Amino acid sequence: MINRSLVLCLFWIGSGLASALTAGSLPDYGKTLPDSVWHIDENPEKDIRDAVIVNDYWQLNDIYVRRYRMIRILSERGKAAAELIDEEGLVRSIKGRVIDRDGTVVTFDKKEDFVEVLAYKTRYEKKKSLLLVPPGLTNDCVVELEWTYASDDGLPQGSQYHRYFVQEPFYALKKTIEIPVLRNRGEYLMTRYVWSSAAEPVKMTKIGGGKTRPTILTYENVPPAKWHPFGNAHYDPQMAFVLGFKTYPDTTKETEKFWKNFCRERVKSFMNEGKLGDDYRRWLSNAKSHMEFEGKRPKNMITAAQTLLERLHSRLACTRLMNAEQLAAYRATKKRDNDTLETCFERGWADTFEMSMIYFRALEDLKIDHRILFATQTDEAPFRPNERNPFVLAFGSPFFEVHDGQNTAVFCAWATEFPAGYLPTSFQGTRALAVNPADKWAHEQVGVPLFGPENNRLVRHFQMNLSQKRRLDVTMTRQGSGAHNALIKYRYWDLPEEERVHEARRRWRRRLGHDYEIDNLTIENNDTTKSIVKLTLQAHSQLDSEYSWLTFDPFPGTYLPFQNPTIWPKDRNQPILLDYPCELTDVAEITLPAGWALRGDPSWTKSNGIGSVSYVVQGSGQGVVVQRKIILKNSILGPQQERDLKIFLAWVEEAIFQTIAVAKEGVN
Amino acid sequence: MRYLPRLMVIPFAALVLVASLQPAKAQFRSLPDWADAALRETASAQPPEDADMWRLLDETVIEETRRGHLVIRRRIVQRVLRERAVDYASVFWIDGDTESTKVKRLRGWHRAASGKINTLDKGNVITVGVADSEYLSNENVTLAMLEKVGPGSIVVFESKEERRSFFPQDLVFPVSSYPIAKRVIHANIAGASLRPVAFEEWGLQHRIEGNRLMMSSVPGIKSEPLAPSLGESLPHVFILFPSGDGQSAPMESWDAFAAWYHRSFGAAVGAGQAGEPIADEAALRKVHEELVERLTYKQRYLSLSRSWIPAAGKDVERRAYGDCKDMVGCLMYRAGLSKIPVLPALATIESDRYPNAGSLVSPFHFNHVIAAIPLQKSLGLAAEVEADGQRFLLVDPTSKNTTFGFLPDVFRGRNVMVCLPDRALWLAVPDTGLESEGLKVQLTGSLDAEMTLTGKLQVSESGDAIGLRRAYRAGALRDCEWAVRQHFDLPAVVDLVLSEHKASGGAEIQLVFEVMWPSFLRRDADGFRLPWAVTTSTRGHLHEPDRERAMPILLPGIIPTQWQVTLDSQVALQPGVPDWDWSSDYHQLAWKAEGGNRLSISFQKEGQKKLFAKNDLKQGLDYWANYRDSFNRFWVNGMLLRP
Repeated sequence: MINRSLVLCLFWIGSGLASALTAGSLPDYGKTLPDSVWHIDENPEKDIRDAVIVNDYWQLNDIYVRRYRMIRILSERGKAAAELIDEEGLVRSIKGRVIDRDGTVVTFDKKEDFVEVLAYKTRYEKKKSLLLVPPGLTNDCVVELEWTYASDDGLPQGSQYHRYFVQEPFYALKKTIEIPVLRNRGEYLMTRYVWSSAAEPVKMTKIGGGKTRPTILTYENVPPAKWHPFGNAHYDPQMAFVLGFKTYPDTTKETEKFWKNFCRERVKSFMNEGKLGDDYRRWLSNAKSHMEFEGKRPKNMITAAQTLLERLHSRLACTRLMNAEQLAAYRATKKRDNDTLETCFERGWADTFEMSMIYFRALEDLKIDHRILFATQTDEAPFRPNERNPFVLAFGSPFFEVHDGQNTAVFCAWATEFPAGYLPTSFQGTRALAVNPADKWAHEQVGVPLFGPENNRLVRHFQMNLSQKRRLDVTMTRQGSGAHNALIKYRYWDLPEEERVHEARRRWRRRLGHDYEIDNLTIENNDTTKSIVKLTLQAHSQLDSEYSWLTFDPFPGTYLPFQNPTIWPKDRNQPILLDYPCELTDVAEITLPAGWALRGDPSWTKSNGIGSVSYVVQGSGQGVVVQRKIILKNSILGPQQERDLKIFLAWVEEAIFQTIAVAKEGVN
Repeated sequence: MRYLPRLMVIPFAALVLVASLQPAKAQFRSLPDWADAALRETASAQPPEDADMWRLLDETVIEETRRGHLVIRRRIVQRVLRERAVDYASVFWIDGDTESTKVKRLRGWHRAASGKINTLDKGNVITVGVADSEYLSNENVTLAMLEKVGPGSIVVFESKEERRSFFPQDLVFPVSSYPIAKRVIHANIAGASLRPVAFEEWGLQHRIEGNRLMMSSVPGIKSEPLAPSLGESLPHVFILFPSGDGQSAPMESWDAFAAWYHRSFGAAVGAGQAGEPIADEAALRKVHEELVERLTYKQRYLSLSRSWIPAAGKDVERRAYGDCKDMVGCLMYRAGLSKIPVLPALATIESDRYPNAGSLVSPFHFNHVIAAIPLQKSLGLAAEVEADGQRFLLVDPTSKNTTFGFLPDVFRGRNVMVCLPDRALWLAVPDTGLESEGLKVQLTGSLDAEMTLTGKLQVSESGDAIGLRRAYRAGALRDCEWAVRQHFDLPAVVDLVLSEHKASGGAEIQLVFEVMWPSFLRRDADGFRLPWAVTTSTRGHLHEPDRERAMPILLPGIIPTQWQVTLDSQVALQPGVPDWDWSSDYHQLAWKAEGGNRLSISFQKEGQKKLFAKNDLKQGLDYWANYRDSFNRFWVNGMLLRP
């Protein structure tokens, strides 16, 4: 006799198993819509507007991804939420429908509504795109879509990694991503997934996981992604993401162990590639002769590393900054299969990685204590060790940290435009992976130094002379350091001599405008990539006024140094990332004709936590000195500093457009 | 070098010797003959002044395989003079369409300054589709890139494409921003002819032999401020192909063309039998309202004819999107169900083309379609036009935010061509038919010691002047704020909080903001300046400092705007002048200001659109110089506020 309770028991177990097996499944397409969908409405407080993603499901499988999406359209602008562009042409099957509030259903027609167009065609491949514009969209409807596309364990085909951002331009009630049990399919690399947690008001739940069940991550009440000026969505604490990437099969899930293995095996391996020969040895020997040694090692590591870098930069150009002759020779040269690091010496140039490799080998050969730094740029994804994702790091453009006792300096082999010890500004302040070749390739997470405003100076000096006939003669010199000198390099370095002056005149003609005529322009001290360029300009203008006083800009041809966005969305939570801290000084020494003097006193100084702006005018009889100084103290700011930044930018604009007035004494 | 057996050295050495005996310039590749010819022809000439690149030859030859199937060959030879032009010179592109064009041949040669010649690597050719969800089309562009180009390089490209054309006509702009030594356009088809336009005004050296046009020493035409876009003002050439297979549109007269369009349009739309002219607007108004509510603007051109022929009315209904002709077609379809007749009317907006009955019959004159509804009698609506004893109401369903019965301001000074069943009817759009646009801004409040303003900003918009109506109707109040910020270019530091909003009769939108504006007044010389949002900035010049102007001048017009600023200030301030007026043919400005601790400033401005053609350039420059001078003087001193 069958025990009824036993049957029931078995039934419970059975259904439990069944639900475990079907735990990961897409919502059913084509069912009657629940009434609740029609109650979804705009709510500006929660940032719910235009459209709401009711349910969004990503089911990642080994060779395909299945997708489901239900969208509630609330306005004209919201219609964009229902469009689909399949750029890679990988969509295999797709169906959809639009349900209007009055009950009308328009089903997508395969021929009519899915338009296949050419994405691109090359000699080797042809890719088509699929564009879907749902028919019958109104300002008050629901769209339901289901489709499948080819993928590689959830990564785009051919990609090493992919970051799924949970937030999108519209509010999402529910988003689910289902990660399969990843198996080694016999390929060299395996796919792994990691994910971030989610901040309030997002509610995140995780079920499943392990060796037998898919991992299902659900995110509810996801506010829309916001774009902020000077922002980077990767640093947004609200920005939850799921990251998939290719890695080695035997890789560990323990963060420390992962990086230890990675550095010891992979980093060690690629850093030791490359053949060097006699030319290299000759160069190194020569470099050595400029250093002080104590036994087999340099007396001062930092000084030695600096000298070494300078000698490298005078021996080899980096392909990212070559002068006209080098560029012409580079264009005429063909890459050969047997090119090695030694070939760089034969040619006289190397790319960023080659420069770094040569410098690394030289540091090793000279036994200079150092660590290799692999960093990221401020506008890209940051380095987060617990992601165990090496793909964010810029392995092709490393830095080298050298220590001597308590002192540390970081050197960049590939940015030849900066003084040794200074770093490209887009990398400053980010987190990096430091690897020590001398200590079994041990690793550490470090910060890339952020240099202060005194490293990026721009000084313009204006000598002005106003004649009785109101002719203003100006001699301006411009010199900068750090990023400001680099700017001038980028502009003129790769031009032949004649083109340099021609180009500079063209620029300054435009900047000075019609009121000025350029009499002469010279560019001096531009013979090495590091030299501080001096640009001198002579121009004149005929001032004119129907009034008894003259108004003019004591700093002609200058313009806003920073971008000044008009729109700043509210409630910023992303950090503020400006280009670089800097000090901009403009000085005008003006000689007025006899009997003339400065009129009024337009001096002012304003400062806050972001920096300071001052405009100081001093007149004593015929002599007037105007000094304008703008200091941006820091380029990496917290979101709460946005208000102060806006005010600072307003002061900068005020100072840039300010003019002074001069008049004949005794005249009103 | 590895040790070579002695025996092997001899033949090896012989090879080396033989190689070195060849003439220094021997190369296994050479430029095509026609490229060499172009180089020879210009060998002794001086490159034009200040040119970064000089195109020595630009040749287009058009032939046909059969009616409507063209073969286009292009050849260009260019000399790179400066680094600046390297990127541009390295690339050749062909605009195409997967449905109707095919690139049959594409070759390139690069002769470096050193003399070495490389040919185009087929791996450096890519065709990219340009479609997106707003623009569903088969259009593409093919790009070919030569590598290692530098100053002194000679770049040569040759292409051959097959192309089906919808109309027996083509339009070519033979000029570029770089100078061209020799430009050739040859329509090598029996019965074809070329019509150059605007060549005399631009002083272009040219001659026509049969259906071959040759231009020499064509100057580079650079962009300049306040210039019209590609259109009548720039030199262009119409190429007229013989039609006659009965398939394509007739070009012999506007009447024939219009009748053809009327027929084709109606057939494609699939509307029922046309009704009689209407005597009442109620039914039409309702159809129009529902239509603009439902349809979104999107372009869908998936076949050759679709750039001119609308989709079936039923399809547009189902899709709920379409472009201007689809919308007119859908209106025709829906209105037809209520027996309201709708005729297509061809128009031109925003572009620099002003066709009329005397213009060369060409589809290239038009870029827009609107609807003309025949009326039995006047319905008292603004956009009614009468001609030839017939009365029509002009309706533009694409401008969903224009009040019914009006046309939007873009139609000012324009003609439309109504396509009747048997002929064309040209109508001039009356100014009274346009919905007037205007802006009124009232700023009230008080300034503190740091010149921060706290108060109210009230913006009233009539017409859809700055997009407020559009945003308001879409329910996007946030967009209303952004439209205000963008139009007035308000500094980001200004805090705006919308406190009231209303739409009066659907025509005027009024928004009231609480405003906090730091540094509202900024120090200057010995006074303070109002923000540019109020005063605008000084007027600039119309050409580069060391050059004469070449382009015609297009004054864009200024929406009638009135600012009224009333402020309480801790420091008493006096305006430079209490009164100032400027009224000229195309600009009207008025300023009234009262000073003290309560400032009251009113500033009105308005401007009309005006095109000074190439032949009237001097007139335009003189007008502008006068306007600029006067305004700038006033701006510098009159608008300054002194303590």
